[in-house]
Amino acid sequence: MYGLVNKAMEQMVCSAHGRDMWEQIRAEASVDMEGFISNESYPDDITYRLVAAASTSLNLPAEEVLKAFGEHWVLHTALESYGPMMRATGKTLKEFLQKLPHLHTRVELIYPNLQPPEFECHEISDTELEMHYWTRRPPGLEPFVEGLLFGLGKMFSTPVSVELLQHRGDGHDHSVFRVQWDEAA
Amino acid sequence: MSAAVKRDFGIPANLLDTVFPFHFAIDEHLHVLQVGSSLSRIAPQLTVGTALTASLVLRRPHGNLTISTISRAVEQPFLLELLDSGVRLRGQFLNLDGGRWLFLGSPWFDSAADIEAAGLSLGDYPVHDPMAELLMIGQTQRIALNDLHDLNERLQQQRAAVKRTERVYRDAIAAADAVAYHITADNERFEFIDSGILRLTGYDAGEMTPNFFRSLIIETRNVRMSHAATSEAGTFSDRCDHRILARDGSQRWLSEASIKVADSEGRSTGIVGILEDVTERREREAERERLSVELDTILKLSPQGFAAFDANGRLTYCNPSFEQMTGRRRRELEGRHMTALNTLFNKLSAGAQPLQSIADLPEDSADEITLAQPERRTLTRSLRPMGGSAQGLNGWVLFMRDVTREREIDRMKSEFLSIAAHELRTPMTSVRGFAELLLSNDYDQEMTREIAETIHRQSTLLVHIVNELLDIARIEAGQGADFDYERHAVYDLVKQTVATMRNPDECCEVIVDLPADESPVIWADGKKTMQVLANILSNAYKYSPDGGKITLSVLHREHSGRAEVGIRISDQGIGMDETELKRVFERFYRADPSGAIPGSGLGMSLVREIVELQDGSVEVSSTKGAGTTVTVFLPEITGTYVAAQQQGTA
Repeated sequence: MYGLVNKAMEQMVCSAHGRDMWEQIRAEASVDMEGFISNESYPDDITYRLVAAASTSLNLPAEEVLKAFGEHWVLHTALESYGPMMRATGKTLKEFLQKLPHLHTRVELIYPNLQPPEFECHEISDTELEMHYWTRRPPGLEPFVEGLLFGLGKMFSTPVSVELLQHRGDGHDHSVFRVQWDEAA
Repeated sequence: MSAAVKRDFGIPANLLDTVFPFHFAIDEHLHVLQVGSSLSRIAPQLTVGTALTASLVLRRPHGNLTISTISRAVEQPFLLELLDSGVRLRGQFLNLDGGRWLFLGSPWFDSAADIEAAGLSLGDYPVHDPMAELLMIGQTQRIALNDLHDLNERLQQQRAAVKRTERVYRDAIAAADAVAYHITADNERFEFIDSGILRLTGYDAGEMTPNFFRSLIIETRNVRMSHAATSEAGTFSDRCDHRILARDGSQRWLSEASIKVADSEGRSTGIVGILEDVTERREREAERERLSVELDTILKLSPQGFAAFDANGRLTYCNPSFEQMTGRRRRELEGRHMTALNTLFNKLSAGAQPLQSIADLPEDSADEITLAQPERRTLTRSLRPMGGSAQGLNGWVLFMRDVTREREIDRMKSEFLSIAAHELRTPMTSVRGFAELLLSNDYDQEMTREIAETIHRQSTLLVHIVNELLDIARIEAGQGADFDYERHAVYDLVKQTVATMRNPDECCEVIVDLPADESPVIWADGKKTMQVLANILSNAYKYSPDGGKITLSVLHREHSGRAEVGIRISDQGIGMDETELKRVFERFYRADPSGAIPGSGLGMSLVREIVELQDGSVEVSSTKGAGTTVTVFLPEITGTYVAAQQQGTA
């Protein structure tokens, strides 16, 4: 993964629990690097070790860590680093979700070694859609996607509810989420 | 954008605005024919029919914005600038039929923020336009650059922290009278060594090599190896103490702690270590050890019993005397609480009443207990706290003293006083009674003389008793220190004694069985020895009422590895049975309880006292009705014995 991801994890832990906790997590994960460079590519294993170590050190299930990380990713990393691109992707939650493929195409150009996920949204109603999610990474990142969706809800000031309808690995090649939001959005 | 119907310029009008929302078209007079929807938003003055030059200025290529310039540079990218906002448009001109020109391009911004400042969003750019991606790549590069700056700053901070730590370590090492060093991997030289090495060895860092330092070592002790937890290379650390010869000839103890170091790939980079001057510490330790041994010896040899308890009241130490007093080994007592000791003392006690608890013993006094086991003893016990108020309470020491002998002496003194008073009262009562008789009656001369003789006899006895008591007291007090030692021929002493002793009524035949020319020689106080012989001879006279022979002879024996002379006085008097014989040295004991034979009962006690103080001994044998033999053994003089005695009494 790109350093941006690991750096985001570092920022999340530092802002919520302080640098000492991050150093503890880094030691627990046996990650020697003092810091990460956003556009440098790092082995995926580092990110997974950091998530597992954060789960141990913060005494939280890994799913909770991933969910919080997803929310932090949208509200801090993506918005602070690529605000204009995020805002250009959509003016509403619905528009944003529908333009996710567009966004990821751009992301792939910016980060050529990235293996970004693929999303496809099927509108169910004005306040509901099904989001199909494909990834080439190992299974288990669904909580991260859930966190992203909650973060986007906050970004557009639109409370959302998310339900995992289909789980990759249960005989399916991708996961499906049902995303619902308030009519006002 | 003009409300007029868009022209297609070869591309369907609806598609043209979608794919080129920043386009505009002009005629051969530079009049605007059409403006893309997005361009209209940032250049509202650029409307159909207006002159292009009223809104735009040419920046590249060189020249004025004219059809001629456009025609000339049609193959080149054009850079136009909106006069109002300064926004630059990048694109190219296409020559259409009829002298018309179509500009296809888009605004160029340095950052996404500038796009938003210009009232646009990335969504205003057509999908094919890479502007957004280019800006995002630029943004990514900026973020990466910031990351590098952050990392660099963090590294700078770490480096500063390392330098601070290094300074602290150096100061600490200097304060500890120590030097740090780093030996190269080839073990040939010091990569680094503190200049403080001069202070420790007298040699400066420039002279010092690892081999040279080793040549200064006289001996090495306390070598210990331990796993170094701080060693990244996972090597082992060594610790040892060296005694070294300094340049000035003095010897110092240096404690060395070293560790093998390696780089991240495990290659040895040498040895780092610290040398600390521990000379004073070792001297203190040696002194402490000496004091500890001394104290331990004192405690082991002390007749007093000591037991130490920790702050929790558990026994941590007791000396051999304490073991002897309680009949318990130290290992049985260690770790036991005071309350368990109370139980033990109650078990050993001779009394039925429970003893006072050790913890309740007052600090400034001692109690006294009598134990029946392991042997009957009288002990005093006192408890003292250890540690002052500043250090807090470290524990207690129980101190026990065996006063059995003292109490026995006290008892004997009381008994002696009682007997002495009784012995003195008998003649005194006699003197007083007969004196009263004389005062209250008129006796004839014969009776008066008889009474006066009795008074004289009894008062003589009184004086005799008092003199002998004073002799005993003097001899006991002096313990022989006032004895006047000289060489004496036994014959001379015996002869003089016999000569000065009155043989009452010439009742006994005194035989001195000792040739004058073969007399053995002793090293003794002559007067005291004659007093001994006189007392024995006096008893021989007194207890031989029917006469008989009194023989004085000399014998020799080897005893306890030395030669002794025995001066033997044998009589044929009334003798003693076994019971009487056992009491012969008791003070005021007399073999004739009737009083018919005068005497104080102190003579034999005085004999033994004087002889034993002269390193001798007395032996008595007797047969009731057949007589008594008393032998006084004294060391026989030899060259060695005299030398030793002379040295001891010098």
